[in-house]
Formats: sequence, structure tokens, C-alpha cells
Amino acid sequence: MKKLLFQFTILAVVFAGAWYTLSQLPWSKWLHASSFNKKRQEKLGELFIKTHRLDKKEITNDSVAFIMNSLKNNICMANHIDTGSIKVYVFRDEQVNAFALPGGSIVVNSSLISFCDSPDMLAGVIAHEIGHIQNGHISKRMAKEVGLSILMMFGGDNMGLLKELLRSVTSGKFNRSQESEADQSAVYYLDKTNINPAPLADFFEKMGKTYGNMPGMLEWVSTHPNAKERTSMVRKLAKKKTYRPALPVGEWAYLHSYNY
Amino acid sequence: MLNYKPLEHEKEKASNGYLMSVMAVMAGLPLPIINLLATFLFFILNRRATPFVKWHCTQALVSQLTIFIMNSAALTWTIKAFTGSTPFTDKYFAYIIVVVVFNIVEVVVNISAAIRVRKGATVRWWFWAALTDMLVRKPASPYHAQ
Repeated sequence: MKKLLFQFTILAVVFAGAWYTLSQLPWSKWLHASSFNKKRQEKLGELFIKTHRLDKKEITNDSVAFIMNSLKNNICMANHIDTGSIKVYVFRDEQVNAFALPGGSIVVNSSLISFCDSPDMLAGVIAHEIGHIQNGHISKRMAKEVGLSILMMFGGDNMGLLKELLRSVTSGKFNRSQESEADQSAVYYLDKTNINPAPLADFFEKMGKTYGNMPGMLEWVSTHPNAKERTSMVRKLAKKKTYRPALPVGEWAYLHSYNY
Repeated sequence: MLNYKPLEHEKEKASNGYLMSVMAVMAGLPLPIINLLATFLFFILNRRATPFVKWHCTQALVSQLTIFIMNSAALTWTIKAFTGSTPFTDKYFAYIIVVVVFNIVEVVVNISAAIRVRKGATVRWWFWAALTDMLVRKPASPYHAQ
């Protein structure tokens, strides 16, 4: 036993010593790892958008894009977030959903825009997705999903793998603490932008009332904090003060009534 | 201890244990579980074999287990880095280099062991041989004092 422990110690020391010595060299600088990481994320996001375009129609109307971008830019600028790092895409989809992708892309489904009662509500959802991006939730979930899906790579069906990953990313499988963190960030971002965070609570309430009892929403319910819980948390965090509307009346009317 | 003279079929089976590890390492990359499963399967198939064969299959298996742990950590870290969950750091690159070197050494010593065992030579690896001695109980091990 003593011999075994001695030999194990020597082996562990050799391993740790080699690792420590090599880690003193600036590998990440030599290999330009930081820019590679950012580019990789962006490319992954672009790949997801391209794959999503195969199934869903992207709304490319200039006015819709302008309004959505101005909403996103206002939130970003007020919170010192690089506006170029976050892109918003609108897709025609009957599912009331919005999701963030690697590389800072946010996909908003047309039905979600129609579902929102006010621009502040839509701003709340976008701020929530920005919260996921800024808190690094996308990459954490990607790591988990890639790890689980890696076995599929051996089937050689790369498009199938990509679609499965996209399905998983869009299904909203963040854990409850990540959702709460994104909610808190959203309230903070909205307040900084001088947009009322309370309609975000109204959004959760409306989602709970409309879809809470649907069988298809069971997964959403299990991974998201209770709608009532989220509503009360957002209302608690929202300050009682006068805010400005997230969008001018005309812009919101155009966006809301647009024939997607 | 080392006076045991293995029979021809024992040498062949024991040698195959190491070859199985080499094949599995090559087939299993980048999924480290494959090589462990293949070696484990070979070990199970030979669990009723003679002490000589069993001892060498066990040595191949325990060495694979070590590589499996190192490769699993490398794979997890790589997935996390590629998906942006953790940054690419100097420590990461250093770890990958060390793991690659260990894998290459593993393949080389496995091939060497397969050849030497086939010729009837004694192959005892640092640490893994001692671990195998502990796992393969005395009556079953050809390398314990009779």
C-alpha cells in the first residue's frame, strides 16, 4: 500500500508539475484565444439564425427592424452595453416566445409582439433576454446541451444535431435561478432606461393566465419560476415613479398592427 | 514472483488486452468513455481466464481508467470553452497538451506491452502494476510470491 501511495504521489507530482510549468506560458495570447472565443460565439449565433430561417420566415421589413433596434439600443445605451453586440431578429411564429442565442442574438416571435399590450411589455421581454446574455446564461446552457448532444455527432447527422440544439436552446430551458437573475437584470435595465418595469410583471401574469394550464406548457412551468412568484418579484423591484413610454405611440401602433 | 511461464494462448490473450486498449483509444477519441467501455468489456470477457491473462487485462483496465478521467475532464473543459461558458486560458491549453502527451505515451506503452507480453516478457507499469497487484488477489495473481 505504501509503495502504491508513493508511486501515485510521484505520478501526480509529474502531472501537476508539467501542467503548472506549461500553464506559465502565454498560450491564449499566442493562439489569440480571446478573439477566437468571441468570433466563435458570433458564428454559432449566425449558424443558429441560418438554421432557424430554414423553418421560419424572418420578418425583414425595414420599419419593424428599425423600431425593434431602437428599443434594444435604448436599453443597451442606458446600461452601457455595446449596442453592436446584441442583434434582434423577428420571425413569423405562432408561439408566444422570445429567446437569446450565443453571440448576443435575440429572436422575437411575431406572436409575442401581438401578445404584448404595450411597448413597455415588449421592452421588458427584450430586457429579460439581454439579462440572459449579459449574465452568461446562454453559454452555460450551450455547454450543457452540447455535452448532452455530443453523442449524436457520431450519427453523422450534423444538421439534425444543430436543429436539436436549436430546439433545446429555444425551448427556454434555463433553470429557475437563471430566470430570476434575468428578471432582476431586466428590472434594473428598464429602470435605468426610464421604462416602467411593471408591465414585465403584467406579461408574466398574462402568460400564466393564458398558457399556464396548457399541457404543452408544463415544461415551461417546471423550468420557470412560478408566474405569480415572478410577477410579485418584478412588482416589488419596480420603483413607483413616472417613466416614459418605451416607444412613441405611432411606432408601437405600427409594430403591433403589422401584418406578420 | 516472476517465474511464471505463461502458455502460448495466455500470452496471446494478455497481449490482446493491451491491443484492445490501443484500438479503443483510437476509436474512442474524442469520446473517452468508448475506450474505457471496450477495455472493461474485454476485462469482463476474460474474468474467468488464467491469472496471467486476468492480471494483464486488469493492468490495461486501470491504466485506461486514469486516461478516462483525464480525457473526461479535457472534454468537459473543451465543451465549456468552445461554448463560451468558460474562457480559453493558459491553464486550459497547458492541460490539453499534458493530456495529449499522456495519451500518446499511453498508446506507445500499450503497443510495447502488447509486443512484449506476446513474447512472454513481464510488463509492470509504474503505479498501475502495484494497483493491479492490490486488485488481483494473491491466488489469482501470477506476480505474487508463491
